[in-house]
Amino acid sequence: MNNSLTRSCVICLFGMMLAAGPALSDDQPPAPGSKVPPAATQIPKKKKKKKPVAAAAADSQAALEQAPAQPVVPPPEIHLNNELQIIANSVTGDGKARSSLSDGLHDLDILSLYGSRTTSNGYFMTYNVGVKITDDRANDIKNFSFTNLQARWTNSIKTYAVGDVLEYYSQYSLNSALKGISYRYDATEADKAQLIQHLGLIYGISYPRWDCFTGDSQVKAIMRNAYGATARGDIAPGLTGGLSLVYTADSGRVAATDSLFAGEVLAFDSEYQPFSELTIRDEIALSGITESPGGNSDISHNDVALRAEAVGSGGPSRVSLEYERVGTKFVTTLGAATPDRERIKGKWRYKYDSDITTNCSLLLYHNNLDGSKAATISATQPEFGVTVKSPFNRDSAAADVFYRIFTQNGGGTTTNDNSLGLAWRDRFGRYDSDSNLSYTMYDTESNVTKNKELTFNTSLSTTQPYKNAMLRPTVSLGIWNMTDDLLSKTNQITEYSVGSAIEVPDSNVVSHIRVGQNSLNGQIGDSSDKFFASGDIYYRLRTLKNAQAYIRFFYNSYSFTTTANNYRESSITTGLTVQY
Amino acid sequence: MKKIIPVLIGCAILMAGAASVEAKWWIFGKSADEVTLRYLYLNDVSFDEGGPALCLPTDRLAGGLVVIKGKAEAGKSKIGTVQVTTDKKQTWVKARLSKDGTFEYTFTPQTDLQYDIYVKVTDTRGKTNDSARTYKQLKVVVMDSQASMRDDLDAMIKAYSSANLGQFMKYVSEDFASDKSVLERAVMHDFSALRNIDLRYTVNNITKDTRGNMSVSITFTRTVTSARTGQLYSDNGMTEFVFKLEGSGYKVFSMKMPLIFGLSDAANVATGSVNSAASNIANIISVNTSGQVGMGAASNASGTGSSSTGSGTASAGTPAMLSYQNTGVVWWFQSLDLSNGLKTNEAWGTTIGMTGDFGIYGDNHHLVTGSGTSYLDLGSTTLSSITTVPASGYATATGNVAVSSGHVYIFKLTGNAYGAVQILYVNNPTTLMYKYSASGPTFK
Repeated sequence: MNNSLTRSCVICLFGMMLAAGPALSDDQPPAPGSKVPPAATQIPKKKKKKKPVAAAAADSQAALEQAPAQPVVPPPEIHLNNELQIIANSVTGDGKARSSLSDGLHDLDILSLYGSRTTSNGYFMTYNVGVKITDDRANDIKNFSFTNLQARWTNSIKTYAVGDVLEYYSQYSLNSALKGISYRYDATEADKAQLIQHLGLIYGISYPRWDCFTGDSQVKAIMRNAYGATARGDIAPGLTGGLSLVYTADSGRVAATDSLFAGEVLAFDSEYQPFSELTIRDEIALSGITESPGGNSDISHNDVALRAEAVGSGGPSRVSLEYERVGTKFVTTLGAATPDRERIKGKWRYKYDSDITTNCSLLLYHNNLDGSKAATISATQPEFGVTVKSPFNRDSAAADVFYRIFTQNGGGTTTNDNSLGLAWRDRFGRYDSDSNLSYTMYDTESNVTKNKELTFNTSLSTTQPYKNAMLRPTVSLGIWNMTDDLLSKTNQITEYSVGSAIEVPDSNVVSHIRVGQNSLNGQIGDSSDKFFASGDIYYRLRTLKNAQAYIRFFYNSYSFTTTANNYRESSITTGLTVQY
Repeated sequence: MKKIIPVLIGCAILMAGAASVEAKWWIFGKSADEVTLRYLYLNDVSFDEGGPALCLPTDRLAGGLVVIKGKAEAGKSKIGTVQVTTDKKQTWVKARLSKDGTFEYTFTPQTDLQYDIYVKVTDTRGKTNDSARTYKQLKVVVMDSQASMRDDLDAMIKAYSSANLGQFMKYVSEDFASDKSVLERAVMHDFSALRNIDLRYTVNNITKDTRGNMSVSITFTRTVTSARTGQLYSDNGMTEFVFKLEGSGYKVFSMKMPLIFGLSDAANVATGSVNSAASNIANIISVNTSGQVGMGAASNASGTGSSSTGSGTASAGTPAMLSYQNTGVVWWFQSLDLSNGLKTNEAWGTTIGMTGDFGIYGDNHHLVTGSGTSYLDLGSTTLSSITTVPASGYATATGNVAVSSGHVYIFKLTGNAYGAVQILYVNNPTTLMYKYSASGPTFK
């Protein structure tokens, strides 16, 4: 721990030196002793009267309309953020193994460096580097890791990126970050007539973190090589279309039973806007992927996924209609899809007037599209909600009401859940109130589930000045009551807490504190009690620009019917955040 | 899907009606010739949402621009001009106006400066709208995009931990990949099943593209209490999100296994799995459709991560869960070793090679006994009532007997050991409790 703490302190000190130092730029002062010609006599410039912002904005608006603006070369910039924390945890009691805290003294340092500059050939370059250093396995499995590494060059037409690259080709083909390189072409206004408006190429490895490249067993992951290409353009007036192809190939099993995937997803998507208030989007994707399970024969996943959406908006109504069908054998390694599901959804949002808005929706979906499962599960979920501002002529109030039904059939069971909820926000004099009440009936046949749940929580807060400070005390109360009709038993949870935020602007101090208790009185299973307390103090330093020091603490004490599970945990964190 | 046809017709009628419904929003007075705004947006955020003040970080402005767009109407009259002011009506600038009344105004804001915005519509007769009702105060600030994303993730976790569904769903995109309504229902179920949610995380990796979308990988630790049993569960792992820039903030677009939100319907909420070591998903908190909390392998949403159900541990007297998965060729399921509570990954292809004492697999929840193990169904009873069990009447199970909820099964093991298992909920995973006797048919 001492070594990592020393590392963290060195990095933090380096950051503080940078924060206190001059701005970095290409223009360096002459070295001592160098022969530098005397500065030319400067004719004092007349101070220009600064135009009002709106006039300046009007000027720029008019300039945009009349002639292309001259390119402005921004100066190089570099920024540094560093946050260093020293954490002292304590976990005691017979059941302390259940705590997620790591007992003892630990450190965590998060450092990020990002900057930009314009290169000699007119490209605007940005770069960022981030690292995380910690000795607490709850924060990371490794002591040192890169959180991000990226460099990007762009002249608004061509964009190159290396390191962490993220390109969204389409939902089913590519929706994940890679570690590799990417290229992107965007046509200018002058090239609007050409078919291809955007072009993209990408290569990378789908590792969740940079140290996966080391092969360390703690962070080992399957090596998923990915190659992708996309092209997008205007097919007809109001109609844009895009084609994307992503090929992946896995290697290097972690566990002997891991599956390796190889193959491609080809996707076509389009967006049609016949007029400004109607938009129609769709995507169709084909997957041709082979799965190689460890120790078994290969499996082919050749299937289709498609979705279509129509959105009508622009008035008091916003209506959307969605349809999606993802085949049972559809597999996408880098896209986002829920296989073996057909789904249709309609939504209608209607603003009756400036105070009343209604929301309705109906969702239907089912699985077992190829009939291979023993049973098909079908679900229906209608919802209705109303939002009312200033109900009953209470100017500061707002109310939300919703009713939701969920029915599901298949697999020998039928589910029928009903939920009714009400939220009310109001102000009584100097006091703000926020309350929620909901009642839900869960019913799954045959005798799988039959519960009734009532949930209520409310909070009352106010803002009170006191000398040169501002206090925001809050009182909260919550009750959850669940009756299990099958077991004829009831569980009840009660939680209450008091707290306050304290701001002292003259002293650059912001602080919070909260104390409370959560009690589960369980006829089913164990009862439990949790006493909790937490707080923090943040102080913006005067001596260091953009620096903030803080102390955070929390204490939890758990007690159960089974006393062997009781434990207490506490944590105090001192931290320093520096931004340059 | 015969139900779909009337739904499609109904929605099509609604859509056709949307364009023709008389707009009461922004209408003042009762005259049909009133000059009004049918809709008004600032960077895709409606003017009447989010209050009169709006603070935007610079990285949330596509192309660094503030875009004000809307549609003006004047009844039988025609729209003459649409003007925008950003300095509290000191100066007015014309917006680009189309023949159908739609308009757009863009400007490049300076940071840390307050803009007081009004929109004025004038028809050809000189009549104007009530511009006072269009007021919006805007401030654009420089903020590290990663820091602002972390703020949004912190706010989501705070809303989830305090079971505030409305606040939580504000951070979910309308285009959420699996379906926003599915996630909302799953999160509501999470709130019924879980209490004292304590979720902490550190960022492993953040990657941003040129259009403001962001991929985030985090390491998390989590502690929850089951609202039904009072048991406490804790786990840790690594998961990923994709955020999309919408309006004024980042909204979650997709989530991968293992999930930290929407555990109650993980198969329908997650749209992928994190490419990581199998240990990342081997022992994760899960919630079944009946609200039972347990520990088990995170099931694979799209079949592209670890293909097995994984291993794990269980302990006598604590609810345990056994899950299964069908990859199309092989049925994977978990078995339980009653003597040490170890859950093992089993495969049913053409033959069974059992490691544990028993397992439950398949959509029909069939029982399978391991080598040297036989079972006896005592019917619907409670585990606590079992003290001494019969010495005979046992049989082996080869996957042709379905387990039943509420029943207690006695397993006779090698070495005169016995296990008593009560099935609490039959599902995937199936929840059970058990106790073990190392010597003889009497449980202490």
